[in-house]
Amino acid sequence: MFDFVISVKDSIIDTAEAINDFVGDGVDFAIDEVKNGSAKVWNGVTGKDKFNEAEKLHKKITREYHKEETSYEKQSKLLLESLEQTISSINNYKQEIYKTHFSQFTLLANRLHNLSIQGESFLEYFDSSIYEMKNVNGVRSKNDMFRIDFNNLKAQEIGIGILTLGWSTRSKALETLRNIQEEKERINDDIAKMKAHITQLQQALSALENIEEYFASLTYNYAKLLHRFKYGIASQTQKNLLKNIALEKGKLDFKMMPLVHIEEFQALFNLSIILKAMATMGYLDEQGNMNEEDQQAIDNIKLLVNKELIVA
Amino acid sequence: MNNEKYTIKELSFDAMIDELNGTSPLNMSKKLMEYELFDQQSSLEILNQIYEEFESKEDIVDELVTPVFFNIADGLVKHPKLGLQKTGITASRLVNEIKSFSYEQQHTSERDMIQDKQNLDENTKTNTLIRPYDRKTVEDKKKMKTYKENHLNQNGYDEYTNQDGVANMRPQPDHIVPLAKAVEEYGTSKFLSNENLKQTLNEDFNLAVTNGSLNQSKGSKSNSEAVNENKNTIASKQTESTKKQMIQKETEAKSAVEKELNSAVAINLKEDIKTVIQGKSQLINDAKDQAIKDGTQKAIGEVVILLIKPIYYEFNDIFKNGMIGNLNVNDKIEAFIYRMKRVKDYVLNNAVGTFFDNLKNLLQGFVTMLINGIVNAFVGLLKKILQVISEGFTAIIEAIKILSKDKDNAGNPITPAQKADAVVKLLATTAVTFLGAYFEESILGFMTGTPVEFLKDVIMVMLTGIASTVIVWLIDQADLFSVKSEKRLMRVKEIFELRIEAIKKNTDIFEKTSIEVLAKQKLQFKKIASNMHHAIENNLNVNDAVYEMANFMHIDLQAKSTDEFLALLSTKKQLVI
Repeated sequence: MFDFVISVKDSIIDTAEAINDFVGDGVDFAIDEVKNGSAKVWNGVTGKDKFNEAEKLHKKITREYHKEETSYEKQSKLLLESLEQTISSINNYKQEIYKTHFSQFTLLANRLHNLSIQGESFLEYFDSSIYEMKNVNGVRSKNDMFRIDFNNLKAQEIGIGILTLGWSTRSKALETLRNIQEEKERINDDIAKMKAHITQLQQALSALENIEEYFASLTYNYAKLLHRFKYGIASQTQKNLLKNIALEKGKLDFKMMPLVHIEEFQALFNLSIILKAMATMGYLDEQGNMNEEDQQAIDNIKLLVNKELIVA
Repeated sequence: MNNEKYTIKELSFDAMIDELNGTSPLNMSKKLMEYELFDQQSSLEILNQIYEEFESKEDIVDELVTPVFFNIADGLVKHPKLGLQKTGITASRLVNEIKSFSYEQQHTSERDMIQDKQNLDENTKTNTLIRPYDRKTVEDKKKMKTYKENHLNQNGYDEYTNQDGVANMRPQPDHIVPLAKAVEEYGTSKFLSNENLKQTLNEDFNLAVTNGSLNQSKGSKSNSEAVNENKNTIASKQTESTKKQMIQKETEAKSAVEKELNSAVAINLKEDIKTVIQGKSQLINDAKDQAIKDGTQKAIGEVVILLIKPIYYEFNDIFKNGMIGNLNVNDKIEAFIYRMKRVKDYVLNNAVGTFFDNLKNLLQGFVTMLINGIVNAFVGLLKKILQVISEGFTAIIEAIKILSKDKDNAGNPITPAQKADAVVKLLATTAVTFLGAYFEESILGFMTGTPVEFLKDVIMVMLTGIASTVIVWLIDQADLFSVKSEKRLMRVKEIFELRIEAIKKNTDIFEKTSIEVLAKQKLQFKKIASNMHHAIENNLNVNDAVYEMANFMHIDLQAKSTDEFLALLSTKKQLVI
């Protein structure tokens, strides 16, 4: 039956062409109009026009989504790498604070008063997968969304299409087009999420870079102040030796110290509190809520540090 | 529809600035990662949820089961003894109005198709004359005699059997369309006088000369009845050609009688219209009287619904959210006054619209009754054709209204497919209503004469309502114009547009505030660090810079002055950080 309808359509076109041969080139325009017109009507009746539109739109949104996804992946990869590098740099500062600065300060401070700095640096393990965006699905396949395929019509579909004067194929084609239009809206949601996620990563990185700068600046100033304090302690020890003043339990008497050195001691004491707070906190995860992976990473780092020390 | 479950919580610029300003610079990265610029639902989950909205099983209950129960309730409400049938107040109307009520929505009156049909039937009854049959008033013996003589002189054959020599077989003139039948069928028109009937029924086209025996056998029956009746002598004794001839004669006579009578009706209607100015037109007066009667009751019903809706809403809201609820008032008395004022304002604001709606209904009712009056004035086949057109008049008006509407009551645009769908449903329900009325006798005829006969009207309203609901549901299921997917697409667009807008807005606020706060913090830090550096390099007291730094980082210090520090050194043998 469907073949019959197609053959009728073809015969109309053939007849039009035959007339063209007979009458000559003068009616070419009319023939083309008839051809285009009949194809348009045919597509409209069967719903093929909607199917073609759906296919076109599916290709367009797939292309657009792919472009956005590639750009997102590229940007997020760079950002996650930067985040990892910054975290690693912060970890180095944390270690340096305990290993170098605090040990020097403790050594000097104990010349004046008993002092200890407890705890240890909290080294963060950066797992990029935690910061990767989840729940993004991509454009669904044609199989999921196409209710009809005019390029591969089944006999049953043709039969029902003819019996319902094209209503069934038309409504399936329309349903297909609407599915794709819905998909377009859906992937726009995903694209908006990707852009939001990139912004969030960028700002988190900026915040982390600020913290890295805080570490750099404060450790620098701490080292400078430590140097000044070291000079103060040395000069006071020298003074006591010259005046033959005995040191009680090997310590200088802070009551005899000039105020400027007490102020230096106080500044270092308070700065140590600040640096300790900075070295023992996490900047991406809450401290104290370390997951197993974090703990494992810390253990591994400790192991490596100890090995290095032994080797040294 | 409810958008709550799809909504993404929006960030507020001021709230975020306040929050970030109160956050330690050391916690900024963590804090910024904690913000939810979008929810954790995947877009595919959202899409599936929207699909479920359109395909959920609950819809069958909402769209079919509940309305069917309301149809049953409507039937009971429509019982004549309650006197509510013309007010348009039905269970389903009330529930729908209350359910969809909001103060933003305008009140509009609704068509009650079953009531419209009942009004029309009532009007038809008023327009139908019960004319007692009296043979003497419609029989013209002189004309009959003249016809018989002329026929015998000119032809002399039996007009039914076609046999010659009827003169010798007790010839008699027969009214082909019998007088009693004609009075019963055509006498119902108010615009036909007995004289009109007498003149037409005794015209040559309704007379046939036949033998006395056949005429006696036929009696008061029509030709077709006489021919088809098994026990009748005509059916058993007459030849097939006689029977065929009788039927043919009847068809021709009926057509000629109806044509003649309808011409008389047209003349009489014309005369009646001429008396409109004097206020004596029967046609206009009858239509006016019934339109006013029906319109007044409908108007009362509309006013009742207009009042009930906001009052119910307020009571419901009080029970759900308390007297004060979400109102921006201080106490319960103020809330009560506010609520009552809101009801009053709504009623007054909609009063004018309702008045014009009722006036429009009244006019539409008048035109419908007028057309019905004209239709009932005519007789025969023409009447039936006109009846179909006139009874569909209201439906046609409604269909035109739907087609010319751009937006629905909620302000949403109506697409061509939705219009086509609405028109098909309207026509289908109209057809069901009329078919129900036409087949009332054959469906519920068994109840006639029984003690439960009074329930006939009620059951008919229920059955017609249920049939209409089922038809609408079936049309919905068939989705002839793909309206369902169109509506779903609109819903998908609405939801995702809302979500995307929220995500973009959140991203924008997030970016602006975080850039602003991070820049501010960086600047602040640089200033403190620079002071510290300056103090260290120039052998000055560094402590002020350290206090500032601790404040900046929201860190609590043990010694906030040198005196406190000295006290600490004096009292504690061991300092622990």
